[in-house]
Amino acid sequence: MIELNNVGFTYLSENSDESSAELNGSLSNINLIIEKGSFVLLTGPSGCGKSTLLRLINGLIPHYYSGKLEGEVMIDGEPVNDKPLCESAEKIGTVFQNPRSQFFNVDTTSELAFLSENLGIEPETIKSRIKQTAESFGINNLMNRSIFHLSDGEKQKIACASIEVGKPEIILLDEPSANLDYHATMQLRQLIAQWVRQGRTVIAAEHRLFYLWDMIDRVVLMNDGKIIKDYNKNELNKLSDNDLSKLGLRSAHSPAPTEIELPAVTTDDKMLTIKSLQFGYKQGFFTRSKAGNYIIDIHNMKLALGKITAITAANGEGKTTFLNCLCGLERRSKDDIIIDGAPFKRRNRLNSFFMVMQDTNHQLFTDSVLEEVMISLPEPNEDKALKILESVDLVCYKERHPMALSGGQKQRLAIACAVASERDYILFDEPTSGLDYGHMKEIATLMRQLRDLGKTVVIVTHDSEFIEDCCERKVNFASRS
Amino acid sequence: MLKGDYGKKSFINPITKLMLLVTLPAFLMGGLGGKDAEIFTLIFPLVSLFLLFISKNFKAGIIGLLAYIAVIIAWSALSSGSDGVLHIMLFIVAGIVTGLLPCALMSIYVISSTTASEFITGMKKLFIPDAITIPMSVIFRFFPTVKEEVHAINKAMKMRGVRFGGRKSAGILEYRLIPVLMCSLKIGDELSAAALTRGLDSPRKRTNVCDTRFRIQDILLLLLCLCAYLVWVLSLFGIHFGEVVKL
Amino acid sequence: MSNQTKKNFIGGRDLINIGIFTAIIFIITMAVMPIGFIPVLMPLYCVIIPVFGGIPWMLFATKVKKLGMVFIMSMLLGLLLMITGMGWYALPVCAVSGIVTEIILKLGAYKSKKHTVIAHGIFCTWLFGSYIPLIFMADAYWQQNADYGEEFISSAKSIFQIWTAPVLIALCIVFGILGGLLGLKIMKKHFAKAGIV
Repeated sequence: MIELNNVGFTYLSENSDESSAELNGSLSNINLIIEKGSFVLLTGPSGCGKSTLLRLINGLIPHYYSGKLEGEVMIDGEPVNDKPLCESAEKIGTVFQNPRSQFFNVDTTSELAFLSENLGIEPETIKSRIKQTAESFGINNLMNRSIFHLSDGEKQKIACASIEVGKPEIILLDEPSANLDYHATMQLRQLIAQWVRQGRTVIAAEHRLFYLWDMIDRVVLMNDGKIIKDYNKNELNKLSDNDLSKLGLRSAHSPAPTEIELPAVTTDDKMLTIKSLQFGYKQGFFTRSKAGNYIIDIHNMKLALGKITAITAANGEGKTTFLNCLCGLERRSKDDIIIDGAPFKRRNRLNSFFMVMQDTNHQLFTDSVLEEVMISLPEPNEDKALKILESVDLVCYKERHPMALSGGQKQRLAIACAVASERDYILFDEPTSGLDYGHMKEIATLMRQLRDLGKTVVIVTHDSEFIEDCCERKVNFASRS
Repeated sequence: MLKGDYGKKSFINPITKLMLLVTLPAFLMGGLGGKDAEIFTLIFPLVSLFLLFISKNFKAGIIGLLAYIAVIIAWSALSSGSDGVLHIMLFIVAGIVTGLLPCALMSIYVISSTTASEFITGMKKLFIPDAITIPMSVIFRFFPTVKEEVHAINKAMKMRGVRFGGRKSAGILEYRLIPVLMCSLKIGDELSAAALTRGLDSPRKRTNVCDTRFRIQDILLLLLCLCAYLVWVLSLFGIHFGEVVKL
Repeated sequence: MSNQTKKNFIGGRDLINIGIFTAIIFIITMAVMPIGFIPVLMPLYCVIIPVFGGIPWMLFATKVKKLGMVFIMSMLLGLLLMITGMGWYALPVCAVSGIVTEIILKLGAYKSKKHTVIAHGIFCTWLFGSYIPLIFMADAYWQQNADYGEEFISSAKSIFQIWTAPVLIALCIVFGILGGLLGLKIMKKHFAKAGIV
């Protein structure tokens, strides 16, 4: 049983470990009792303090993140605050949001053994547990691999497996699906379902509800560091998607993105035609990829000009690579793309496409929001830049450092740069991953604004709600067609 | 890799790997033993290549082998007569291929075939403290991470038209270095948090799942390194291996 | 930075930070190393690496609150130099520069910006380790590496004489301090503004 009695926490301002988006993740006056064996979902808008709550339970607060702590967190009657982190580690396993940063080891098998090795468990026991976990999680094919060669979905599976080897009683999930596509999310769901069936205590902080909804015993809704609602199973079943969106929450019953019905192109549309697009990494030392070895091999894909097109896929492989090829970043892509009856060469595409990447941290370089837009303009012009910032509602932050913005704001800034670049085609790679309902809505509105400016918007996304909200065309993507 | 065998077995022991990792550069690049140890400058590259092939890393192995053969042929054909610029150029290439390349290949072998668990165990056996071992394993884990980040950032810069010669070229280094550092910092903090919830700071004696027994191949390779050092030490005392063999 | 537990010993988190920043500084070093194949440019190590290293250094310094962290970093760099073929000579040099740097930081209570910048100058003398065989064991070194050809050796010999040792160390210190100042500027411009440090 987990008990929080009158818990409050404020991050220290000089704490260097909080991106300031989460700085307001402080908590006040939290009272919560979580029964053993229940599956609790913590949800609420970004910055509401749900991650902070998880950190209080696994002991990262106060042992890692420092700040002002009030009240008491008890697990099975013992206070967590006094125990060193390594003792909590035996009981509590945490899966984090970012698949790139939660592995200490380079190979998967060592990662699975890491926790147990640190705790000094007998090697034979560890080996049999790893074997058992690999079987039950269906990840035999991922063993003895370098984590740098795994997809994000596979990495999250390894993260789940690595805590499973330690047999924790309590499992904490901090937005584990934020970087995953639909397919990988549903696989993650199966792993979590195993834990739920075994009667482990599972606490998940998530925006995306649909993949967990039918398993949840209880939803704790938070806002501004407080618990504002606490629903039990019966109350949950009565909530419709409409009720949820009024609460600022994502839909609980999203269909698979591939099942949404939208035309790929209509007869009235002007089109960009990808007659063929092939891309393969070098296969071996001498062999370049031969036909059949392509990672991407697409024929006759049509994209409507001046519309918002969603690109969805049953399986997320190759989508990002496809975008890279489309906007001309991959030199080795072999393509035949036609626009207005003439070929659209790679060099020209590089100057006509703008891509907003999934991790916006990689594409914001300057020291202020205004400067970021200025360098994107073909000719620097402050009035123009300010106007663009106004359209994405960031004028008040123009002097801020881009890295001091929240996730949703960074996304908007990247869109502002796209507008400033005055390019006609704007590509997005999962623009709503990790965003809450409110921010998702904002992005959807901006997409429509872009279209009204006459831009062709192409979005790779797995977010069904987002597609239903703003997309007009949809292409089902298969890396080989 | 046998299915169901989750403790991946390397061909050689982590201690042997560390020994090779230290010994190769000392003789190939540091020039220990000079002329007397020349025979080892031929043997050690072969050891690197052999280990790469046995760990099925054919790409690196074949590239290494071809480069090595090519340079040896070019060197023996050209070096005798020429001096000046051509000589220096050839020397630079030869220096890289005969000195740096085998060491780099050995590093590739060691990094690609050693799990963190093996590495930590090996270092423990050599009585090297955690204060060195843990950062070392973070360093090896972090090199590919930085590579990934730099790759992603370069792509973003290319897409946004920040390139040499353009209007934005002034900031080219700053734009590159800052996001790399920012992302590294963030990854580092998240990595620490994750490692701590997985018991990194545990005061208990660490166990390990890897098999670190010495096998015949370890003993042979260790003996080889030992011989090299012996030749070097003897040469310091004026006993020259080359002459001894001739006698 | 640590917390209420009053730990003064270096913990897992500190070791991970040391690892990350050592990796970054070493990547910068490796990126510059190839210029050394042209002997005249070899002394430039002492200019380029300290200048760029100053940026990660100033960031690292914000994470250093405990005795010994810089020393460990210094030793790791020495070990990496050894693995990459610069010989074991680097280790004692790194040990000395690490200890002196620690003392300077300690005098500034691990807070003073001035001390941190000066400390970087001293810290950068770790680079000197890679020159030792060229300067102090020149005859033996060139005998072992006679393949280099007369021209290369004579030009290298003319650069690396006993008097170059203090010059190289001075270069490390001066450009280390400049690098520290650059790091400080970048910190203000980016990291402090972004609320990261």
